Amino acid sequence: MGILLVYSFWHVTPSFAIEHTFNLNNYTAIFTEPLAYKSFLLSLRVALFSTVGAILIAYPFAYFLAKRAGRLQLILVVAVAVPFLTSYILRAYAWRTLLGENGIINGALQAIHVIDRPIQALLYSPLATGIGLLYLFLPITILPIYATLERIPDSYLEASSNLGATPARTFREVILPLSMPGVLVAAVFTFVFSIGEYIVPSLLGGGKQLLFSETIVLRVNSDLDWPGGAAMSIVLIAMTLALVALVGKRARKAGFF
Amino acid sequence: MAAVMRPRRRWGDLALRGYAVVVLLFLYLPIVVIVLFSFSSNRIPSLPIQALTMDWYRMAWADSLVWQSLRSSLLIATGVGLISCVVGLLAAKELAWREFPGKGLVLLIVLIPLIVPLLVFGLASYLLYHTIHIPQGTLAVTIAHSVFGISFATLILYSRLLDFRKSLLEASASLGAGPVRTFFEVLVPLVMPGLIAAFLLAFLSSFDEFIVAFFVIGFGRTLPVTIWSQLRNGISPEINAIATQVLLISITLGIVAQVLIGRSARRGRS
Repeated sequence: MGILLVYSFWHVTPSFAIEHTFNLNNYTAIFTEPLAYKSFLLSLRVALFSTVGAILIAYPFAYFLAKRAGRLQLILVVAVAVPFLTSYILRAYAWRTLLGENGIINGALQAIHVIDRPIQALLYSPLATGIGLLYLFLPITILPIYATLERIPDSYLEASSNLGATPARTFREVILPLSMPGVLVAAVFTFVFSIGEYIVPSLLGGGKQLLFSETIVLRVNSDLDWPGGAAMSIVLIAMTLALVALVGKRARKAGFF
Repeated sequence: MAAVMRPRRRWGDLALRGYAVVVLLFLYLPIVVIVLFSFSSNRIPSLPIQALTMDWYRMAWADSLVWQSLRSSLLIATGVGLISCVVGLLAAKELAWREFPGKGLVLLIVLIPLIVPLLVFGLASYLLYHTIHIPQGTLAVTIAHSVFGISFATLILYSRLLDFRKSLLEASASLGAGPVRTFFEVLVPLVMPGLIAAFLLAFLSSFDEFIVAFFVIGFGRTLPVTIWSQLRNGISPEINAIATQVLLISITLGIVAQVLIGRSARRGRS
C-alpha cells in the first residue's frame, strides 16, 4: 500500500514527462496567472470561512456532548458521526434545494417577512460553497473537540468553582486551554478537507468564481494540461501535509487516529 | 455553593440543550429534505408540496442504468472492504506489536490517503494507472479505493490491537496451537467487532466515493458517477428517490459501524 502510494505521488511530478524536460514553469504559472492565483486565494478564503464557522458552531455542541448529554451521550456521538458516512454528493446536492431562489431558506425568510424577495446570492456563490463545506465537515469538527473536552475530569471544574471562580472564568482559564489541542486538530482537518474539495464548489459554487480545485479540473479536462494540473495538485498536497504534520503528534494524542 | 449556582446553571443548561437540538437539525436537515422531496409530486423541488407520489421511485427502479451502476458500486465496495480488512489486519499487527525505526513515519504514510484531497488522489491514480497500464474500469476503481480503505482499516485495527492482551496469543501458542491456528481461532474472533467496523467503513467510503472513481472508471459507471451526471443534466426528482435509498443503506451501515467502534473501544478501555 505504502509503495503504491509513494509511487503515485512520485508520478505526479514526473508528469512533466509530457514535455520530457524538467522545468518549474508550471509552478511559477500558479503565482503569475490570474485565474490560478485568484482561485487559490478564493479557496483559502472559503476554507477559512468554513473552518472558523464550523469551530464556532461545533464548540458549544461538543461541550454539551461531553459534559451535559448524560445518558444520550453515546447515541448522540453516533448521530453526529453518521451523516459523515452518508453520501456526500447527495448531502451537498440537498443544499441546492435549500439555498435556491425558490428554496426552503428563502421561502422561510420570506414567510416570516425578514426579506421581501429571494436572496439570489445564496446559491451559486462562494458563500454557498462555504456553507456547504461547513455543513459537510461539521462532524469532523465536532468529534475531536468532543474527545478533548470529554477527557477533562469533572473534578477540575469543581476545583475551579470551589476556589471561587465564576463559570465564565472556569471556562476561560480551565476548559478552553485544556480543549485547545482538540480545537487545533479540528481546525486543521476541517481546513485541509475544505481547501481541496471539488464536489461542493461545482454543485453549489455556480462556476463563475472558480475555486482552486475547479481550476485544476479545468486545466486537466479542458486544457489537457496535465503537468499544470499536477503542479497545482502538488501545491495542495504540500500544504495539506505541512498543516497535518504541524498537529500530527497532538492529533494522535487526542486519539484522533 | 452548588445551591447558589443552580438557577443560573439550569438556564445555561436549557440553552445548551436547545442549541444542541438546533445543531442536530442542521446536520439532518438536508437528509430530511431529500427524503421529503422524493415523495413530492412537484417537478421542481419546492414548497409547498402539492401531492405525495411514488412515481420517482418507480422511475428509479425501472432505470437500468441505475441498477447497473448500483451493481458495480456494490461489487467494488465489497471488494474494497475485504481487501482493506485483510491488508489492514496484517499491517496493524506489525505496527501495534513490533517496534521498528520510523514507525511514526509509517503511521503518517498510512494517514496520507485520508487527508490528501480526493481530487488530487484521483488525478494521481489516473496518471499512475496510465503509466503502469492498469486498464480503466471497475478493477482500477477497486484498487484506488482500497488504498484509502486500507488506511481506514489499519488505523481502526491498530488502535484495537494496542489494547489487545498479547498474553492470549502466547497462551494459545503454549497450548500447542500453530501460528496459523492462533491467528484464525484466537486473534480474528477477538478483533471481530473491529474487523466488521473496518469493513463497513471501507465499504461505505468506497460506496460513496465519486471523484476518484470518476477519473479511473473510464466508460463504466458507479452509482455516484451516475448520480453526478444526472445532477449535471438538471434536477430530476428521480434523483431524490435514488438518494433516499442510498441514504437508507449508508445510514444503516454507518450506525452499525459506529456502534461497533464505540463498543470495542469501551471494551478495550475497561
